[in-house]
Amino acid sequence: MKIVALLLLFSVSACEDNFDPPSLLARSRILGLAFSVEGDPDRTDPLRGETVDLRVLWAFPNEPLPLSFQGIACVALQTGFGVPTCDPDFGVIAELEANAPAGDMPVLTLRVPDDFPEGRELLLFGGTCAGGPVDTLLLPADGSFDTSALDVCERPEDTGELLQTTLPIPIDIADANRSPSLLVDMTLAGQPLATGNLQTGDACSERKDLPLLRVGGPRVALVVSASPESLEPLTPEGDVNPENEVLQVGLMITSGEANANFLLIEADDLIEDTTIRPAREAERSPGSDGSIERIILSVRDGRGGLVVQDVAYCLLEAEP
Amino acid sequence: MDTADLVPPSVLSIAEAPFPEDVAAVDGPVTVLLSIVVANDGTVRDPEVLGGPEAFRAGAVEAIQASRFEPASLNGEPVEVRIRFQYVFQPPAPLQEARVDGRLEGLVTDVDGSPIPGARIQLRSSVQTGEGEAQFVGDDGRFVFDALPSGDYRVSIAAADYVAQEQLESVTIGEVTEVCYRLDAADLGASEGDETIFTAVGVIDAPPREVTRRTIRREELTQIPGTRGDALRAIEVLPGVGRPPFGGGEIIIRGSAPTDSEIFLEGIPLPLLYHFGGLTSVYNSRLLEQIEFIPGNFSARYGRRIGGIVEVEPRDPRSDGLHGVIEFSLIDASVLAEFPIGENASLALGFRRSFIDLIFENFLPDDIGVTQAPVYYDWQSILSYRPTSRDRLRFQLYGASDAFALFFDDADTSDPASSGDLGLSTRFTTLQASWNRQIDEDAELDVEAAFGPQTVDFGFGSDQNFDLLVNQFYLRTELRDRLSPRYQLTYGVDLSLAPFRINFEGPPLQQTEGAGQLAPVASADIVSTEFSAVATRPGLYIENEIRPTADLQLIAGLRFDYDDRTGDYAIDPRLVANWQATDIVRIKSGLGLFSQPPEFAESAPDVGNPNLDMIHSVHASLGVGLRLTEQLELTVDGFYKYLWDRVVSTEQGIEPFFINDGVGRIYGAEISGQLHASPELPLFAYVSYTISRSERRDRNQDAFRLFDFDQTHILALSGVYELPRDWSVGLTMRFVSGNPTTPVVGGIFDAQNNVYTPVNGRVNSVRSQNFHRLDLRVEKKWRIRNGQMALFVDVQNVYNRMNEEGLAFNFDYSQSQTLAGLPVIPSLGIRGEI
Repeated sequence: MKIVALLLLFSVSACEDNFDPPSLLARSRILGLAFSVEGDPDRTDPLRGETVDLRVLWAFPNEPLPLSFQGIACVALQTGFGVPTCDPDFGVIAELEANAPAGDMPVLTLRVPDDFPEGRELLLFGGTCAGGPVDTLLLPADGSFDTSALDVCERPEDTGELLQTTLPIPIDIADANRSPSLLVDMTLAGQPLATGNLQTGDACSERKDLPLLRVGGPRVALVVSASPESLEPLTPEGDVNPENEVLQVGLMITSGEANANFLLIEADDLIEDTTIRPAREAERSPGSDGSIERIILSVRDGRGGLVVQDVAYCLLEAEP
Repeated sequence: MDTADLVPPSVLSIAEAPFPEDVAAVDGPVTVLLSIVVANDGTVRDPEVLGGPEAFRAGAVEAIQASRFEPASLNGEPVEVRIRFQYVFQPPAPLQEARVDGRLEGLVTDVDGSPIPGARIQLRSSVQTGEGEAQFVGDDGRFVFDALPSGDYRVSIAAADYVAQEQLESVTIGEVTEVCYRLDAADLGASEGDETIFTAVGVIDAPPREVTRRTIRREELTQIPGTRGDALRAIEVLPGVGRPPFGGGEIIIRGSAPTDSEIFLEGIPLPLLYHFGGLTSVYNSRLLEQIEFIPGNFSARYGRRIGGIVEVEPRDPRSDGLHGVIEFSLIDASVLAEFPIGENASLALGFRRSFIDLIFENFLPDDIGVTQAPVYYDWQSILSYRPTSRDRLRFQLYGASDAFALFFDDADTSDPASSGDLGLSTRFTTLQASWNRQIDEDAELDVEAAFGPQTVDFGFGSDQNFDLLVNQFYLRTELRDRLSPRYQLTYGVDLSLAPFRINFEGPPLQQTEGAGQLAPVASADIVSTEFSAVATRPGLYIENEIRPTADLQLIAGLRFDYDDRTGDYAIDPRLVANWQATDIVRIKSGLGLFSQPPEFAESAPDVGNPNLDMIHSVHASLGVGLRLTEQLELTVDGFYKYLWDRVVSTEQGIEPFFINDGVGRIYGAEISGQLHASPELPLFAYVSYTISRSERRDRNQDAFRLFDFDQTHILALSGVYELPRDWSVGLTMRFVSGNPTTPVVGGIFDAQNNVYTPVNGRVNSVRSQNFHRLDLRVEKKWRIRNGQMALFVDVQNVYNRMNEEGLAFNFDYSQSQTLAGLPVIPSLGIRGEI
């Protein structure tokens, strides 16, 4: 009931927070982990004895930065709530470490032990840092994280994140999740968005292939659509109680605001009530040549799949 | 002259004349009849003695000249009038002898305070004369019923040309209950010849069965500023009552969890106390006789709770004609009607509806849609019937409904699962019947039964649903038998039988107290359960009230409770001692055990632990009460409570989810003062200060930590001053230490669900800001021909203090900001009574 009380509190006091919009990509932010079983790249759940690659995905407002990761893998304790914990009966399975230069993603390689306990999940817990190395003090060898410290990076000027995820370890390959390619399309103000190696802040007033928005301009519709294949039921064909796929869509933008930073695509294959508010004058000054602004879209399915799309539009000066 | 425009003078203050020393003992009050001129400035001049004993005349004349009146007015302008006035000398109180019986004595006057000679008083109870007895009051309007056994008495007052009244009074062995009945004239036209009499009237409360029992009087219930006239919210100014979080709608008594305390309506638990988490109570305050607040060491008649008790006592509907009250405010409107049915029955009907739904949408952000704006209703009906002089039957049908439904267009930035439809509705209806029978001179039987459905429906998005249906049946039977003048035996049974159905879907249930910031629902594995059961909870109790001397009262109680959900039982002995050390000083102490079953959900299969045991607590308290004058009382109480077998979550919610490993300790002191209004000082005021510490330990290896609502200092001042011309003004000021909170030291990105989960620091290791608030109430009444009108302004949070109610976090818990409570809220209302 606490949430109801808080909602009432917000409602009655007409209180809206003053935080930066969650959709604003003002600093380097983590997007997630992408899994792929070695030798079977569509599959996201490894079996015992198999090796899985984990790619750490970040979004950057401007130039990409070098990335680092340091963590552990262990048998997850079956908990109901709280910070995920390793099951002390099994200890740490592997210590993981990876670094990547600017523009690349750290890739972790983990082999699931042959004797991984049946019916349990694998817990991956670690710290990742944009700009420099992870603080080695973060991860004691016994896997007991000092979460109260939370200084993930060795250098305070770098951006760090703690992250965790769990991964089912099926016994039968038929039970393992496979993620087909997630095909998602977007239009902004009715125009397709450009992809490619576009840098935030680059001049764009001459680019005719980009949607054009003006500083202080009205909100415009962002339509996100998914292919029918991406929304295939999670359960086998013919199941009497099919569980429908739901795609989670995360949105980040380099200026202005998206009216949501988290969307769901369910039975319908698109979201059409999302809007983008262009930056106001106090937020961004694109100059007479305009400025490339990016929208980072991350899409997850219920089978462990994750794709990221980095698209752009052109922000022009306010109307004189 | 149109006498309807003439308002006679009324007494503001009467100087006290000394009782002549050389006068032999008299049996009762002595009256001197005077003729006086009340000037248009309220002073008295030209007194003339019209009658009365010679020895008293000079004193009466001297005193009346020093007295002050509210002058008479004609068409609103003060005018000088001559009136007759009876000055009453009260004989000096004889040295009190230890009484082994009770006495009811009092005065019958008209609305202006003049005695009504010849009024008939009938005491309709089985006392010395069997079927009851009657008296005609004397010329001074006074009457006395002596040598009464303890118990409740129905007093009927009737006089020619006046509207009859019937009142319920309590008489206690060793105590004198003083009362004053003012009868409305059948013809309300005023005349210059009205007589006026003044005398101080006090009511001596029945001695408590508990160490600390605080009673808010009926006439003061609805005047506490900041409550919008809501009597049940007046509890907040009493010592030991903590400040609930905004929207919680909970009562925190002496550092106990809200679920550890219970509100009873005439012995039956009230399913819900407040609409929408504290906005206003669900029961019309104008139907209440009084509210008793028992913060600890309560009687064995109350069980299944380890915190405190609030006993709400409704009154009988008025039987002297049709009466009605209509009240409008900016929040809600209510109507109440009461009237007699035949000679022995009377009925009251009340209804209230909120207006929040008319304005709610204007306060919401754009991305929240309103499916059903918040609206609440409540209704009450009371039928009181007295088939014989020994029996009283009372039937009540009451209930409440709260509901709202919103639509969150956008996902919550920190919890994507918190989007879509949000709905909450709580409803209950209770049919309650009570039968009181005076079996003989010394024995009395109470039977209470209640039945009714209670529902809670909550849903948010696709992952959170909670539906609860309880068809609550409750039965209480109590027999009080005075076996000798110094010994009374009370025994009873109370049975709670509750078929219930729970449908739950959501994140795993967990202990919310001491949990810090909860993780977003999106990161949790959703669990669900649906089950039905019958919770059978019988209780038996016995109390021995022993009076070794007239000044000492010992109450030894024993209670047995059984809970079939857990299969656990409890045997709780309780002892209370009250010693009237002097006329002024009363010492009180108590020691006892208290037990409480776990909540339904905590012992539910799949999501809880059906093998839980009852929770236990020991209460110890010691207090001193000082009745300094008839108007002024001071009390000091110290208390200590230890709790064990508290239900707490297992570490990280591992099966069996809940265990009885928690303990707690609470200790503190309360100081309070009550000033009751008198004609000399028309001010009633409460001052209370509580200092306490409430701690919990959830696991054996942990250290004690602060309780979520540990409030070290609680200071409350509340007072209402009656001004001339029927104005009144009141203030309530509260200062409360900030609640302990658990700092959030960061967030962990949940890569699977694309949300951050909070990382809590040490539990309740910091405090939020101190809370303080000033509330103001101004009321003006106008007397009209058949009743009165009142206009009131009740302003909550006069100086717009932005009190901290919690913290809001951004999506990754790297930023936070304070959530402020309600701003200044003026509430304008109008009330009409006939």
